Parts: sequence; structure tokens; C-alpha cells
Amino acid sequence: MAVPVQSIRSAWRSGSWVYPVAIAVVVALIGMTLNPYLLFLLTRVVIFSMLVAGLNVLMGYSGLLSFAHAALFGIGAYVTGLMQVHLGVPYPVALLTATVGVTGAGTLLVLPALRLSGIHLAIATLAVAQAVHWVLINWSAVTFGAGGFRAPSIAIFGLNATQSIFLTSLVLTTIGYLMVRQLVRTSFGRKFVAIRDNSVAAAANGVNVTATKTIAFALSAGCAGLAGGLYSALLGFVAPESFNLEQMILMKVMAVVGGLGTMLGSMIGPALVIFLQEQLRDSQGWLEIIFGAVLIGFVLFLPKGIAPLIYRVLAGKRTETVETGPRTGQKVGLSAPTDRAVEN
Amino acid sequence: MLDIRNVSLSFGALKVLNNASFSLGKGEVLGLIGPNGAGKTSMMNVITGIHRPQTGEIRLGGIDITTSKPHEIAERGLRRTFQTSLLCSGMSVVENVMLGLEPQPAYGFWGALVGSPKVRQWEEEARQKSMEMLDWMGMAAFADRPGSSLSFGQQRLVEIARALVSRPSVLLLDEPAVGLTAPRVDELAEKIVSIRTEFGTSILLIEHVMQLVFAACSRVVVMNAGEVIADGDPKTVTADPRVVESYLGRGYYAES
Repeated sequence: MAVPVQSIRSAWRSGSWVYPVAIAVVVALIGMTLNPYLLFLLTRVVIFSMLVAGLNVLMGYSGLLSFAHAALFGIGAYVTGLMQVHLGVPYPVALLTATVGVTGAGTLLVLPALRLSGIHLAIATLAVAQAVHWVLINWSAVTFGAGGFRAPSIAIFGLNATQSIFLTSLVLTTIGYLMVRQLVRTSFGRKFVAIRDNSVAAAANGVNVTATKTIAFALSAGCAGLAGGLYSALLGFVAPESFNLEQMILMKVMAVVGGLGTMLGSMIGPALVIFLQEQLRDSQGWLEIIFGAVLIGFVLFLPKGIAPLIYRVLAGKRTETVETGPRTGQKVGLSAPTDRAVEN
Repeated sequence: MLDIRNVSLSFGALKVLNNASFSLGKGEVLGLIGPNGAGKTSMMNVITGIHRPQTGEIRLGGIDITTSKPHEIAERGLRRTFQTSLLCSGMSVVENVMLGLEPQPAYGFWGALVGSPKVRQWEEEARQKSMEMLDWMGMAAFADRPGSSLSFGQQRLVEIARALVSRPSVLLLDEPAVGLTAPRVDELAEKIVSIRTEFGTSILLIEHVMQLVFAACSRVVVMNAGEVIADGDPKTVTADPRVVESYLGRGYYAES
């Protein structure tokens, strides 16, 4: 028993792609046996994992607080859906265009704000989010206004619509997850953490702080755009209310509950929050109160989120070890404050 | 190597640097001393691009860096440490040192995203170089510990390793002896001299511990109220009546 556990720990620390891919295969097999409702929920978890992974690069690794991601998520959904509806563009082309477009547009939108940090950056991005939301509601000729529009579903390999978007989302999210995880283990990851921990010291060591912030924002915007494009096909109906400030807060809760600055937390957070949402859906009237209480409990008793607990198990000792750091097979420590390596 | 010419810096009505000039020669260890509030750290911030002077000029190796950004100055081969240790708490000691090698890794964004073979090679080489530097500073045993878990004095040594790992032409040290015991100050003085002899690095040292200044510096510049009031070898400068009056005090010679 000890040997497999050791090899799992070793593979996890070294950043092997085998385990994430194996997990994805297991999720795919389980997903294909689920009823449409549960598969819909699982697909939501998968899509939000992609979005939260990007948000984690921004918030967890780089320490940048943004409220624009629900809007970027929305732009991704609208661009994907509207390109199909208005222009008759095939879904893959629309999805790729939305991802690239949101990466570019998101970066341009916040470029002036990148001179800011902390609460000032948050307020600037909130302004961007509100402006985008206003456009989605009021540019009716293109966006169909507050009522939204029906987005085409997709079908692959003769599967039904939900199964098709589930598998598509799972494949793209797995690839995206592996790429983002790879990136934060390189010098880019160290630069993200450096500008979060102390931007003055980072600059004195040659880190271009503005460029690093731009990369972090572009990466997370790209993830949001891709997730939005997938979400439009899952919902089959796109409306502004799916991308409002409440959704933004929910995304942040997912990142915090999972574990800020941990890639594993990007998967756990959405799963837990969506599971809770569904469990509490029957408790109408109490839903918000119970959900709020659970969140307060997390903040009070598990502020670092779930992922550090799992790392402890994987580390096999009383250390809060990490999954980041270059893939040299050595003990590593690059992480957010939530799961930094601590000698005991 | 580094020329500071007629530099002035004000924050509102407060003039922190007043027409200050001095130079740092190639391979020289220059001490910058003066009372608190003299403008020493402000001078270091101006040199490294954190503050932009209202007047004056700063040249590094003959190139004007007066309006350059901090990361551009660092890339030109000028590195520094800070008065309070600024290690990144979210990284291990060796990763903190690797940060000193970051500006231009051999792989780009896309290479990092897909994990190209160059990434692994560069990362391994960067780790190796950083470990060698930590070993040279006597801190290799702490490589995998988080930066924040070290004592203040140990963090200062790691910060010096981080500044040195890219083999800069100029190194600015802001009170590196803070938090070190007397024997460790002697060791630090030896290290500073070794940095000059082994790497050929020119060093500007801000320090209040005169034991270190005398042991490491061949020349000393004294600042007071934003102005340079003395410039010369340590013995001559510390005997200067203006320096005794404004900084060392009349009891300095009686005690030493």
C-alpha cells in the first residue's frame, strides 16, 4: 500500500499530467451514465472549473482583485451564441473566436486599470462589468436585450446535446487546466507570486510588473471567454442575468472555498458550491441563509479552502505542501499564502 | 560605473535630496552613511527607478537611466536589497533566489504554457545556479523552506543571494547588517569583499554599523539633509568635523 501512495504523491508533486487526465477519463465515464439533470450539473462544474482556474491565476497567484469576470464570461457566451445565430458560424469557430476575442477585449478593457491594485483595481473592473452588463441589456438589436436569446446546442459522435457539451467541456477544461497548471510552475508562476507578495521587490529583480499583470489578466480572461462559450451551448439560452454581479460573487466563492492559489481548488470549489446550491434548492426561503452560514463557516474555520487539506494528505505529513513549482522532481514551495510549505 | 550628478528629489515641500552628486567606480565598495533622514534610502530609490528625481542625471555604465523603470534598470545589471527584507512569503528560499534570474528566460509564454523541453532545461539550470549562490552565501540548507520562516538576518542573506544570482555589475545594499550579531557582521564584511573580488561587482553600501563600513569599504560618502557633505577614504571622512557634528558625534573618537 505504501508504494502506490508514495508514487501518487511523487507524481502529483512532479506535476505529471497522468493523474489529471486519469481523473478526467473517470469523470467522463461516470458522466455518460448519469441522467440528463445530473449530467447538466456535472457539466456546470466542469465549465466553472475552467473559469475558476483562470480566476485563481488572477486572484490567488497574482493577488489581483477583479469583478469583471462574470462580464467576460458573459461576453464569451454572447459572442459564441450570437455568431451562430446572426452569422451562421459553426460552433467550434464561434467558440475559438469568443475565446480569442475575450482574451483581447478583456485585456484591452482593463489595460488602463492595470496601473491600479487592490480595492482600486476591483472598483475599476466593477465599472467595466457594469458597463458590459448595460450593453448586453440595451443593445437589443444585436444582443436581444434583457429577454436573451436561444443559443444553438451542439451534437458530436451521435450523442445528445448535454452529453456532447459535457465531453467537449471536459476535454477543453482538462487541456486548459494542464496548460495553466504548467504555466504557474514556471518563471511566470514565480512572477505572479512576486507581484502579489511585493511588487516593489519584484520590479527591483527585473520583473515587469505591468506586463505580468497583463499576462495574468489575459490568461484569466481567456479562460472566462472559453467557459462562457461552453456555457452558452450548455444552457441553450443566453440572457444578461446569467452574468451579473451575483454570478461574479459566486465565482469568487468557488475560488475561495476550493483554495485560493491552488489549481486543485479550482476543481473542488465549483463542485462544492454547485452541489450546495442544488442541495439547498428545496429549502426555498432558507437557501440564502444556509448558504451564507456555510460560507461564513468556511471563512471562520477553513479560510484556506479545501485544497490545502488534500495536499496535506498527499504530502503524507503535517505540512501544507503545494503542487506548484518547476517540474524538477524536487520539493517545492511556490504557492499562495493559503498553502505555502510550512516546516513543522 | 555609476554616476549620480546633481540629483534633487522633493515630496511636496520636503526636499529629501538636494543637488547630490557622487560616483561609484568599477569594482569599488562605496559606503553611503549619514544620520536617519539624510536621504540615503531615497538616493537608492532614485538610482533604482522607484522615485524619479526632479533634477539631475544618473548614469549606469555610461547609459542614462534617470527615467528608466525599475525592471529596466535591473535588467541593465543593477540590483539591490531593501532595508526591511522583502522576500516573497509565498515562495521557497530557492524560488526567491530564482526570481533574480527571471527577466528573460529562454522560453516564452507559449513555451511555458505547453511545457516545452526548453522550460524544464531552463528551470533546472536556474535552480542549479540559485543553489550554487545559496551555497556561496552559506544558506543552501534552507533552500526548500519558505522565505518567511527564516530569521530576519537569514532573510537578508537570501536577499543578497537573490540580488547577486544574475551577476549584476552594480549591487546596492541597504543596511544589510541589521539583525546580525557582531560575528555575523564580520562574516558579512568578508562576503561583501568577496563579492567584489570574485564577481567584479561594484557595491554601494548604506550602513550605520561602522564596523562593517570600515571593514568593507574603500571609500565613504556622507549625506546629511539630502546633501553630500563628505566623500573620501573612511579615516579621512570620519575625522571630518561636519561628519562628526552631524552624524558620528563628538563621543565617537572617545569610544573608538
